[in-house]
Amino acid sequence: MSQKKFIDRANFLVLVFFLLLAYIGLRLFSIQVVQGASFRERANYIRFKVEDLQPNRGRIFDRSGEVLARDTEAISIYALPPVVEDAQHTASTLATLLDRPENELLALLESGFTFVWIQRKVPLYVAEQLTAANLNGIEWRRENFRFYPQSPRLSNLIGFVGTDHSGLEGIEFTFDEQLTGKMGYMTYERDAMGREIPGSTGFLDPEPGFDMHLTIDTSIQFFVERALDAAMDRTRAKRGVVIVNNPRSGDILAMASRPTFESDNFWAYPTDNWKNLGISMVFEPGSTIKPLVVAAVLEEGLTYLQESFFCPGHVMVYNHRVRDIKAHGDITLRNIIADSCNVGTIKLAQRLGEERLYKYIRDFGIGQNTGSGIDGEEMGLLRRPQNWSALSIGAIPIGQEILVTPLQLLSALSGIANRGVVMRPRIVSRIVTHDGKLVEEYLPSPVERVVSPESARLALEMMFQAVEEGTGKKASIPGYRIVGKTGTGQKIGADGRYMHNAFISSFVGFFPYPEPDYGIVVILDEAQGEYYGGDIAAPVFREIAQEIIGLKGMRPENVEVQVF
Amino acid sequence: MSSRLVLILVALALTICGIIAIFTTDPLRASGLFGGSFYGRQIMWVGISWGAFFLVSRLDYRWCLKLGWPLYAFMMISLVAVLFFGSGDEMGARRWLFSRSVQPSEFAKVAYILFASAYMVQNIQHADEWGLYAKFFLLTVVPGALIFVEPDLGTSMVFVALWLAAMLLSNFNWKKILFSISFFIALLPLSWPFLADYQKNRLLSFIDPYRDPLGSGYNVIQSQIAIGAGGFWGNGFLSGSQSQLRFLPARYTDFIFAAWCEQLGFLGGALIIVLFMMLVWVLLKIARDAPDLEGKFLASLVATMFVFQSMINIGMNIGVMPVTGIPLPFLSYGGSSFLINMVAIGLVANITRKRREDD
Repeated sequence: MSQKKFIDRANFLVLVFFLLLAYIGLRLFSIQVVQGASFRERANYIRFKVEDLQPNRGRIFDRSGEVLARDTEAISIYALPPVVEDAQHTASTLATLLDRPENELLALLESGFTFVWIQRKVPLYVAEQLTAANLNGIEWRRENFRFYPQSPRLSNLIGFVGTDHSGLEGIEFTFDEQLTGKMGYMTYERDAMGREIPGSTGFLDPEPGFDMHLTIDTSIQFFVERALDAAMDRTRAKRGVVIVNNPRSGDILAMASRPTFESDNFWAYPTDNWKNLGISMVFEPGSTIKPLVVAAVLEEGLTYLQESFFCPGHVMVYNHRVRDIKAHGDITLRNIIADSCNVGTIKLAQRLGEERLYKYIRDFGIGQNTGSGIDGEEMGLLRRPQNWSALSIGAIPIGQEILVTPLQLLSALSGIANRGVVMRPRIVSRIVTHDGKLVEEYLPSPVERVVSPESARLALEMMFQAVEEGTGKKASIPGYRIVGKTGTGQKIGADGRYMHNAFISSFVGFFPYPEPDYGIVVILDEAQGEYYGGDIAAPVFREIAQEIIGLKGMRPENVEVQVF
Repeated sequence: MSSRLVLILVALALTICGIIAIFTTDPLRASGLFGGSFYGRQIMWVGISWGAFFLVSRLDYRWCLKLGWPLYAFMMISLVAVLFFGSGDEMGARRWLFSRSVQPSEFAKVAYILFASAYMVQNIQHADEWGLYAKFFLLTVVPGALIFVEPDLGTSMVFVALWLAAMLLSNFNWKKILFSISFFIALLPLSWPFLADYQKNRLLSFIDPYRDPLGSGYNVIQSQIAIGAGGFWGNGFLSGSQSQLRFLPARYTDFIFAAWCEQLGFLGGALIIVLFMMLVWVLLKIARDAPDLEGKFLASLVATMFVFQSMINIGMNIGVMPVTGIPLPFLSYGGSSFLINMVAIGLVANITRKRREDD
């Protein structure tokens, strides 16, 4: 073989090799210089990790600073079953730490999923024990959980938050925006194992949500819940509501609803239990609204206290005979409320006429949103006079053909207890930042003066009569002056007609008369057995009133001191 | 400047780059030069290897070539020994003897180069005959197959490249060479069932790295990101998140080029490529100037070995070649690989010495 031939071939080899290396160099240029920026971006994407930092949700307090809801830190433990090395050992270790059956945990670990939750809301100290146990494939993360110290009390009012920590019901839902706070984040550089590189962290601290101060009085709430529970047992009613307020400021001091649930365990209950019936239940109030009619008639000067009416036990409205519970015979204005006389009330309403009756009832807040500010509040129903039938004038004054919520009813009658001025129900008194700066303050605010103080005083006096010697006797407490009005409304069945065996029993009362500080509404829906408001709702009122009297140390007024 | 000096300078430059590259990617860098760090151990091997270089460069290459057949026999024995007594690595590949201290396939490359040079020159008058073609094919395919089943796909590919180059240089007809190339290309799909799962995955990931971005495609993706992130100027010495934060796998062995490029950018990468071009150029220049055909063969095949390995390795780093686990000569961490490279350089250096003596 000639040298020349070899050199040709060697040159060819050089050429091939150079071309190959040059191609490689070209590709290198393309990757590093032409596409360099996009690769750098991807390197940063791999390298920097951004983690959200959950802000603490704002706390909720009662009127004296008692905590009703706050965040608490806990860990949520999860497993990555494919990474778990010794499932048996891991399960038995977890079983001791979490106090759970071992086979249940073993089943989770051997489930074949790549991710399973083991347990949430585990106290923080368990994290240290887990670190010490050094279990492969068992990991956890810190999370904020909502803690409701009073639960199940107040659950229906306060509501709850979902797993994503946003409010789903009640105050938590209504004021979610204020309570949530601002998300923070943390960025850090990490290595290939995902480990944080020390000193590489950047923070934007989360901003805690605003704290809310409610007008609720936890002590009163306690007695309300207890009394309502007892009443539910006693009457086997389907639903029940009690609201306590201060009629003069409109402050809601307690609000309980049955059926109920636990805020921190809400998923275990049917959704119907989550409702705050105090604002969402609508019903025909029946006789409880009669004082509003009487106050209106007094305001218009169409009657006077000593006027006497004759009650034959029924009254003709248009072509229809409205029956009373009994024939009251000769009855004075004063006793119309005390004895809850339908005939007298209708006669008074007829004097007012449709327009004025409508105006007064509407001004007391019936069929209107109370402005409590809580989501889910129902409006109730009060039709305009042009939509009334000829019979309406005989139905509306005795609490039919209209729909109210318990809060609406309490608020309307509080107008009478508050010298004729209806106050806007107040549940949230103020919203402050986590370090106490005022964000928003809600002051007691009157909605409207509906009747003069004098008309209100007279109507209230009749309600005093009702407790002293009328239908509300069972609300009376010796030594204390209590006013109130009972109500028993027939429920309307699915066919649109009144049912003969389903009633809403109610009682609205105030004390101490004549300048009440407390108003209480008791509603029992479909009580079994006895159903008169005066028989089953009034005693609940009395029980709660008695506890409040004890709680506030109110002294009896008219006990005759016997001196020997 | 004499070819010999250029050869030594280029080898020295690559050696220095290699030590720097290993230093920057050393996971045990903190333990210091003598504390068991990788760069410390590599420096020790560099010393041994350069010593071997000077030793071999004084050895008459013609005498070495006479050892062609004994070396071939020794190579076969050691490769068979690996098959039976070899120790494996984490991937299950059995490539080592004496508990991972000796890698016969590395040694086999130089042994084969010496054998092939001697054999082809002896039979040069039969070149282009089918008989020689068949014999040479068998003599190549047996050690090649032994290495392939270790498995060490990369080194067996080096054998194929050396075989083709040897035939090309021996003036085999172009048709036979093209036939051989097509034969191996045709062999690729046929060899599919014999490939290990990880090798199949690597080939599939070569076609689409994002097929399994956290598995077999991970290396290629991370390596490309590292190189790309380096840009033109690089992130600077000892910086670069991919290599320093250990996203890049095998960053001091197979993917050292990516780590190098992340830190030193296109300038650094191009430097390495240019150094390899210079190495190939000077080796082939020595081949052309060699006094005898054996020397020409020897130098050309050594050049083939270096260029093929560097091309495959860099190609795999930048994603134009499948991942086959060939170290980058002079840069990748590894004692026996470095030693063999310097021995090969030493053999070629001796050719220049010979020529001077002849002159």
